[in-house]
Amino acid sequence: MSTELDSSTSKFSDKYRFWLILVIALVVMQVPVISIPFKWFESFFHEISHGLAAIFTGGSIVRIELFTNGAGLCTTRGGSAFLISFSGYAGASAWGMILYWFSSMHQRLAQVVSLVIVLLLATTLILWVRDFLTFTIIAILLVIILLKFKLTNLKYLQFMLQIIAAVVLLNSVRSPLYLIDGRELGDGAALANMTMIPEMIWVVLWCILGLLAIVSVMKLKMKTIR
Amino acid sequence: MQIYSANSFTPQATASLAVDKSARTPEQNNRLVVDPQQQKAQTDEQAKQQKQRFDVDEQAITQFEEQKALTNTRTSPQKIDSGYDQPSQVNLSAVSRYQSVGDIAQREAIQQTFGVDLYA
Repeated sequence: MSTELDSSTSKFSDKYRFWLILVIALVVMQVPVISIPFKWFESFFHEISHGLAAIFTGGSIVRIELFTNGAGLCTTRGGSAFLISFSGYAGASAWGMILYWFSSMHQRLAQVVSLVIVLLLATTLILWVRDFLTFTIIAILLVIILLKFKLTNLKYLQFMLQIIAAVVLLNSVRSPLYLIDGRELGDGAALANMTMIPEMIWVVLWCILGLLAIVSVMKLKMKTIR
Repeated sequence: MQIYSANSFTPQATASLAVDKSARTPEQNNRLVVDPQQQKAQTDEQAKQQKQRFDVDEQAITQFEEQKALTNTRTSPQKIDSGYDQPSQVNLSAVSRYQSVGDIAQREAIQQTFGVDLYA
């Protein structure tokens, strides 16, 4: 009787865990100082997505810059301009989804995911960082992830990764909206110039992709609970 | 310790000086009377000399200042009007905007020269 009760309670907590994490992520995004490294994570995933798209389409990354306010810049040479421009926001959504999936599947997988992020940050630091500010920001992100390895209980590591993933996911829905400023700057304007499809369409598309990523994570969680 | 503060120490010093004065010999007292007269004469002479020297210095300073003022008006007359020539805030912002446009143009030129693309 008690075991049945326990299992139903854990199922209940699992069912609402995703929503709880989304709410925590929403709160974290509003807190002035705490939200800063999460913004940097989102910005890093955005810029590295541009860079990886350049590499996968035959180009190369020249440099990656991150700024304290959460902005970023990726300088590339060669590759498909269309895919590189598109992959920034879409890539951030994909990173958020992958991070959440893998960190939720198993505690050991959460460790593997952390290791992948560490390798990605370290590679960026060595190969593509050319200025002190970006160096400092990426070093801080690296330290944050490395400190999580110190956590003896893997549950906390899993939880922290889920929070980061949720913040990245939520930002991937919100960030494209900043492009609606009438200045015709950024990835949306670049795509509009290339394709003659208005910037607004690209913004809406990125927001939908972000929402789809959140829904897919939620559905996957539901499936695993059943 | 607080007992050795300046307030508690000074009266003791004055008292010891009073004792020394009373213990002086007549010879010493005479010497003391003569010495102040000599000292006064010396001091007066020194003051006279200083006053003479000061007069000379004052003249030199006045001349120097006059020369300096003349040189300033000859070499840099615009300095006097610098307050009126200060550009207005509107002009300053216009200049900074012009410079930022120049930066963008420079950035584009670099992009074209090096064949790189920027993604924000």
